Amino acid sequence: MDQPLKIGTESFHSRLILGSARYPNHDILLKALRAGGTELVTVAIRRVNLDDPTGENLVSLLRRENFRLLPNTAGCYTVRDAVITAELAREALETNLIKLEIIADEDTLYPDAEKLFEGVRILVDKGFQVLPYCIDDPITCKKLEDLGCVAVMPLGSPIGSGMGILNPYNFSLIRSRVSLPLILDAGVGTASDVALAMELGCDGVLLDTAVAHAKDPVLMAEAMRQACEAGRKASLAGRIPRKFFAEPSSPRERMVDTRRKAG
Amino acid sequence: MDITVNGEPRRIESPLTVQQLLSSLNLNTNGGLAVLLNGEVARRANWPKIVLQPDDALEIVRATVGG
Repeated sequence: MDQPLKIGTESFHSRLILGSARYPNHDILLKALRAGGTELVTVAIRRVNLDDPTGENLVSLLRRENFRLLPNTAGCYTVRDAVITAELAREALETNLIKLEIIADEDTLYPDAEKLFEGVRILVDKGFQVLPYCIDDPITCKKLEDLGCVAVMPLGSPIGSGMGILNPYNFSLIRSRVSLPLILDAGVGTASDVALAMELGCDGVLLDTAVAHAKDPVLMAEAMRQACEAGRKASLAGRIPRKFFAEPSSPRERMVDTRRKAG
Repeated sequence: MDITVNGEPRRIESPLTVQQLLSSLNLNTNGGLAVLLNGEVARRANWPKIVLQPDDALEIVRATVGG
């Protein structure tokens, strides 16, 4: 039996964190979340639609099924916007958890490290449990650990790109230097990306589009769950080292003598 | 009295508290909402006490789909 994943004061049996965006509808969203076995679901904070104030409330829908919520600061480009969004999220959802995203650039949606550090300092000081979306750089991740984050969430490749983990070596480096929960956030395209992340020593994976935009989101969510479990088990089991040359698996000794009788 | 709600100008009767405004907009104030008043978070416990002033700007938010 595996240890639960501990993020700050929270504890999870599932190591798969799923987003709630870009699904065809709420029904498929809920089915996919169930199939993924996830316990933690990300949400964004946005203006209420005053033309439809009683419209279906996502939060009550998710809470009815006992999903815990991880609000994000998606779309924020400044420290102030991100901090205020985090405070609004805490007020609305009564959680100290915050996925901190401070975006630097519209095309890459890469995080702005300088602003991220400042945002983390402010939010940690205000009592938040911060999960920062960050670059896959061991130095940045170590600094985020030292600043008091409860996890680090480096990107594998740009958000929504589906390009997987572009620099697996960096994930191994981050794993060797950071003791906080390491969660791959962004870039997953398919199940093998999740398995690889876990094999590289990630404690969990956060993804959204790879499931929401799959031809069959529910089936893909199930594949992600299995990949996450398989990768985790492989990581715990310990893979064999890579070698440059072949090594026979069958014994070299006591080979059959097939020579014909002389003469 | 004129105020701004989620970027749109709105005329309201005064005096009106934040709590009363939310009710008049048919918003369920029991949970899931948060309010930013003139750039500062207005805590839920204070909604019944805060009386809106002319030219106040409110952002009324809730959690929605996100990644």
